[in-house]
Amino acid sequence: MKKRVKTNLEYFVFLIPSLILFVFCVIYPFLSGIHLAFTDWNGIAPTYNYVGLDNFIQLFSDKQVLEPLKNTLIYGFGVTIANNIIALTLASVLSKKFRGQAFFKTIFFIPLSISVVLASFVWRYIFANLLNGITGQSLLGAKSTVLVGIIIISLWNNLGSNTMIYIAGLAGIPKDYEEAAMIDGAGLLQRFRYITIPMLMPSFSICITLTLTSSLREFGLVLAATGGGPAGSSETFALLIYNYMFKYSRAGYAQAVSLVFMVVLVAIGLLLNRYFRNREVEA
Amino acid sequence: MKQNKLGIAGRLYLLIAGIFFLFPFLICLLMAVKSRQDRGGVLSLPDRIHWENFANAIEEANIISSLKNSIIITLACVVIIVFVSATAAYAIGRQYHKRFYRIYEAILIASMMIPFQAVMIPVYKMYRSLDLLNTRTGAVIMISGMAVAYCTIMIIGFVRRIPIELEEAAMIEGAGRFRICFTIVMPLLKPILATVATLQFLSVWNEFNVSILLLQSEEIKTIPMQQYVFFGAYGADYNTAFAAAVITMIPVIIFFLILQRYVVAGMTAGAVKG
Repeated sequence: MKKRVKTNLEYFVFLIPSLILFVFCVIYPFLSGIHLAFTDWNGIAPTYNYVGLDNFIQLFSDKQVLEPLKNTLIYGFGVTIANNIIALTLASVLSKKFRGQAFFKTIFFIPLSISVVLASFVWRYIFANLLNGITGQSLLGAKSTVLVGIIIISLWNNLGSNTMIYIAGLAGIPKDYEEAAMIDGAGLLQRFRYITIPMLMPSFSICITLTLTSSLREFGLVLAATGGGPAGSSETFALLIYNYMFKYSRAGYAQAVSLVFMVVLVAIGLLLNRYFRNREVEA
Repeated sequence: MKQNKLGIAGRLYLLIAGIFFLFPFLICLLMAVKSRQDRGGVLSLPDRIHWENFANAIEEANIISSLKNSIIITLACVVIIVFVSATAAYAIGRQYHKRFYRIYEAILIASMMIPFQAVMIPVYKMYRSLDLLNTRTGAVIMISGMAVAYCTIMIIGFVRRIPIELEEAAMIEGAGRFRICFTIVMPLLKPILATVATLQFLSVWNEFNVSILLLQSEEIKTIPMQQYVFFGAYGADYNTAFAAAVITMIPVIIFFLILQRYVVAGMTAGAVKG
């Protein structure tokens, strides 16, 4: 009995660094932040008043959050759809045998090592000085096209990771499945529909869930590329929260917005997860 | 095998995608070596290679100071993240039958869904009252803390795959728990730890969310922070800015190329049913 207690204690010691760091950086800020959502704190003053549910009531009648909401959804779903379609098609091309395969893979992966600041800087220049011949003015300069511009930067910066995952997923499909289907006379599309897609479900699950939840919370790329402009037409929810805190000194309200934002993101993540879990097949 | 050959459409697709991915790098290189007075248009070749752009960039963009900050912060974070995640994963992996450890694992997983914005304001408030704003220590703690959940989860499965008999044998030989962990378990975890370290090196090196919140004074800015300001302010002097971009891109690209297999291993973990 004494020995068991000792063993348990020994294992617990290994957990202590993690507990301290995690509580300090995530648990405590998260829990201590909840009550701020019920205050009128301006982010600077040492004191604040409790205002009950005012912030939440205001949020649901605030016309100012509609535009960022729309932008976040367009950007999030735009990136997710485009990224996954291109990554999957690229992966299936890269899975074939040809000379220069390793070279092309590397080309697609390298932008993953570039920061959002650098990526936006280079693309801002390209949009303004090179592609403006085709698009009239910089994609980032017009309200109607700015989100398309940011989506393109995001694709350049992040496509590599999903491409990697799909390549690994495709490599994991046993060759005899395809061969058997071919012998049975299944065409390319049929094979894709009835073999590739079901067998790739674990990859879809990771790629789609991760791309959607991370792009819905996009912050750095938007801030570096446009700062939310022109005239707020690319302001996302994450940026809105940041602006409420640091620009408009409404920290209490910002915290309320961020909690609602979090609940929505968690719900989307869980729904997607359940959707894909139910569709995974046993290999 | 007919379907394994790359057709003409596939080649064309690769070519277009290849241009899209490579093009920005070519622009960077080209712009970085042109003079400011160059009127030849974006794609024209420079009259000669203007190395002075690089010298200007190093000076004006504060590259030396921000490089120092980036190196210190990144190395410190990677060491802390790997150590903390590996030890926690060891405890959780070996006590997986205990409810307490399972709950902690569930909390770690759940925390990955919290957007940084939900803790941003309280973190800022806490850091101001602890006087940790604008300090390297503060940034290292927070960046590491935000990463441990993901890394711990990555490692747990690998711990569980190491046969417990190895540890029991060492136990009989009289080795203590710490010696077992650091001389038997950790060496066996080397591949996954290398993967975690590589991925975290890249992600901390490019870190933006935490840095913009906590690192605002000039002398402790990391490279992305420095460039966020520099690219905003020096918009007109593109050649110096591009030279700065190239200087900071090269080391991280070389790092990436050397350790590419670890990046691929890390990102594809879980993509195929194991």
